Amino acid sequence: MKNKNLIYLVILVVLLAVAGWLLTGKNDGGTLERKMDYSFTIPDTANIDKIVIKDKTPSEVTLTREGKDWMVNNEYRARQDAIETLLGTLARMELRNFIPEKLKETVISRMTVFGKEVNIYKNGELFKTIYVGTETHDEMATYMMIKGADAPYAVYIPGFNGFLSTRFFTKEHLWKSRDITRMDPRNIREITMMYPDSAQSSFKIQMFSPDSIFVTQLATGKVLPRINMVKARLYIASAARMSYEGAILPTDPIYSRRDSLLASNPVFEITVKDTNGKTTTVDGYAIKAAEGMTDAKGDQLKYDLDRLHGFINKEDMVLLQYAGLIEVIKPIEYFVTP
Amino acid sequence: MKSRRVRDLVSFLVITAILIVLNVIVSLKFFRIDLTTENRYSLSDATIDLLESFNDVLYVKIYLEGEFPADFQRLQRETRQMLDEFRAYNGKIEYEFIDPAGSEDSKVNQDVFEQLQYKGLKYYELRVNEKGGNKTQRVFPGALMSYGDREIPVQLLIDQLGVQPQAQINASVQNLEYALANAIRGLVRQRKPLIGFLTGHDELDVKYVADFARGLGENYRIDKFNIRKFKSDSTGEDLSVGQQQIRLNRFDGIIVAKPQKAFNDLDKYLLDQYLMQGGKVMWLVDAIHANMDSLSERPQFISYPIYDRLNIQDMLFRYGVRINTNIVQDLVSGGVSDRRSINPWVYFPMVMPQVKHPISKDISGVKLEFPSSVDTIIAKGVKKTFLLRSSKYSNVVATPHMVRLQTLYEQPSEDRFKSQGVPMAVLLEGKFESAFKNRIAPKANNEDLPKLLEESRPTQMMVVADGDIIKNQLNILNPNIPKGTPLPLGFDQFTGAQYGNKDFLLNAVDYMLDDSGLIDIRSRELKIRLLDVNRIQSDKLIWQLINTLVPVLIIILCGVVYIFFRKRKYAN
Repeated sequence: MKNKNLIYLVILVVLLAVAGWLLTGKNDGGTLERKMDYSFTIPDTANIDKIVIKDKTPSEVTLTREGKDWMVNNEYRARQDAIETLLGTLARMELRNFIPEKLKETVISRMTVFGKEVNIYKNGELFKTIYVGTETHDEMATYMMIKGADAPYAVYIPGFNGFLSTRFFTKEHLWKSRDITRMDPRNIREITMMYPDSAQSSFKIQMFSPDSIFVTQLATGKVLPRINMVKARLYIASAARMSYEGAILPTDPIYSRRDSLLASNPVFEITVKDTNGKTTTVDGYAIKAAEGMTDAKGDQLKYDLDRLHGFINKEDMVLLQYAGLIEVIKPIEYFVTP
Repeated sequence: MKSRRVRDLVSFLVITAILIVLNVIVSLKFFRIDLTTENRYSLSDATIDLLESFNDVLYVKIYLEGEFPADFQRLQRETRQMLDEFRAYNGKIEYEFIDPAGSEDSKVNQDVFEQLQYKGLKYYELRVNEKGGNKTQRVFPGALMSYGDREIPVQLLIDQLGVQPQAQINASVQNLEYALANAIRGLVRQRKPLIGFLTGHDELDVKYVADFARGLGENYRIDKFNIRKFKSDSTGEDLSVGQQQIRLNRFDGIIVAKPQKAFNDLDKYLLDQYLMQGGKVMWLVDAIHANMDSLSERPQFISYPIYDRLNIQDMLFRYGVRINTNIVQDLVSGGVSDRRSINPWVYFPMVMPQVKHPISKDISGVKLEFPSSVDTIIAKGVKKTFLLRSSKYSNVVATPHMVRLQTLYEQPSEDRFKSQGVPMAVLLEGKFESAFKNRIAPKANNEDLPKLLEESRPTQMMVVADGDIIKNQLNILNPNIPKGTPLPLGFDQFTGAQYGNKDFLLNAVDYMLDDSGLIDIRSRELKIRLLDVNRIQSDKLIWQLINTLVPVLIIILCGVVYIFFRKRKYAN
């Protein structure tokens, strides 16, 4: 019996030696063993409360969740569509293909220069850091690398034909919501609409309750005796949700003309006052039509028929669209019941 | 007593440890023993060589995932096993099964379906039984394989016209190794062979071979070669036959697709010497003139021989084949639509593969149009294999022959269709004798031509007595794609039928040009041992009882025997 145990022990030792030798010689399998290196999908985006995107320019933007909204750099409301696109990207993006060894260096060096660092936080803690690089040569995927991984990978969204790097941008003005006003119409107390070139059309709407709305002609100070209440409510609702097309930055050529614009006569000036007394003012200034812009008769137009330059609270310079403000650029006659 | 117990415990622990370590060792070191008669679980040497030839990660996304019938589940299972087998030889193969309808958002699923179709995967609509009724489910029995930044589709399910679904699955399972290995070869191969479409004799225009060329493009480089056009350089030197030969010889394979004009001696010399140096040639030749378009203008036309006009009969004869100037009719045929109905047209034989050759095995029926028959001639050192033969109900008519539209509406008399197995395509392999042996070579303008090669290296040639086998239709009917767009080869837009012409020709090119031997996998037969459904029904109860009661009885018996011997031991 004793001898038998000895034999068993010898066999065990030999087998352990063989196992040890095999283990030391075993190829780690490289990236295949480390699935976390290419687990790009973040399925539960509802728990993401902060995203920080940085690039090498250097430029950085911080997006934080506050209730149902997201804030940009803790100051401005973020565009809902851009946030939804970003979260949708994080929830759906996945590995498309591995990168050949000989290309890895090139991809990584390009990522170092042109890439962005995306830090994703869940419940206040850093959850994952992803480096977003450039697009693949067929422009159907984007090179990305998870921090700590040993290689980048080509990442895509199944069903989507295109690259993803453009969804991770760092410019604050691109993330900012383009709302001029965004409030419950019931919280509006007063709206003043002034047409400097047409004083007779300028008016003021005052709302004390949804059934108690008054329209005053500014030129005469007279209150209109009978108004179309439906149109009045519609007007107030539209004024509660005004937006602009895009921000005009200091780097844009037109920005240098802001002072002269402010000193000139606007096409309109609308002021919205809420029940707390907070006011928001938007002025719109006509844009000179470009050479070759003609009307139906073929005559050169004087002004652009689609867009205006604008100022919000005399501060932020923006581009406005007539189409976007068509429900608020109305003359006083609009409210008159025949 | 105590020391004995201790020793027993030590024995137990050491034996357990041995078993554990043994399992660890086995998990670290790959080996397997295939006990099946047909070596079902063994990969071919060609596949193993291929798998061991690349170092980057090869990623396979298989879209065969979800709830579907048992047949598709079998295909899924076999695919997984095959890939595991591949991984055993190359750990750089990674795979993933993906359900393309996995999202709860139907719009997302639809986008995925469209993308997969765009990438070349086919789908099938299955009727699936569910509580409360039937449901239509879209299944993509295919995969996308990527290596580096290249990605190609792999069809796992072989689509065979007129074959039962279960048989199609069986054929697909048998074809799995080849399908996957062939795709890997296309991805990892550094140098793709060059295939040339010969021009200069009014061969088929580019748009009529576009779909086949597109299919070839996955694994080969494609180019045209006008054998009549000689290049001169900027020095203005005389055009050189030797240089033309060099230009021709750079092609690994040449396809001659439905030539209409005669080959002159120089053309034949160049092609002959190309063959002699080991080039592969695919001749797709109409020996007679016959065109369905003629019936759109009048109710009948005369088909007549044109083979002599091509002036290649002597060359092909020397190589061991003759194309006859006749027409092979077959009762097993493709249909023709007259906008009211689809009627079988005996002049369009549909050839079901009868030969267990890698080129023709398990492909769908191949449609030929006004084909002729081929005969083989004794040619020393050349092996001939007929690849396409007519059915048991065929007829051969000599030309000139009147082709009548009325034939479409007449019930053909079976008495006339008594020929069987008439060959229409042949593969020739071996060492060919030059057609210019003991002949005067063409003049070459004071140029010293290389010495005539009188015998070829081992090479291959295929001759099909129908030039239209490679011709794809152009879109006329589908309003969703531009008119004139080349349609898939083998697809008849008028009847909706999909024939196996493309697979046949692609397999032929693979067979002739692939040195790795991968194509031979296609000739392997895997015996699928299916359960006898009737026997299951009749013997079900017996086997249920055996499987339930016998183990219990065995344990009881063992217990009784043990107690008996133990009693006896200690009673003494």
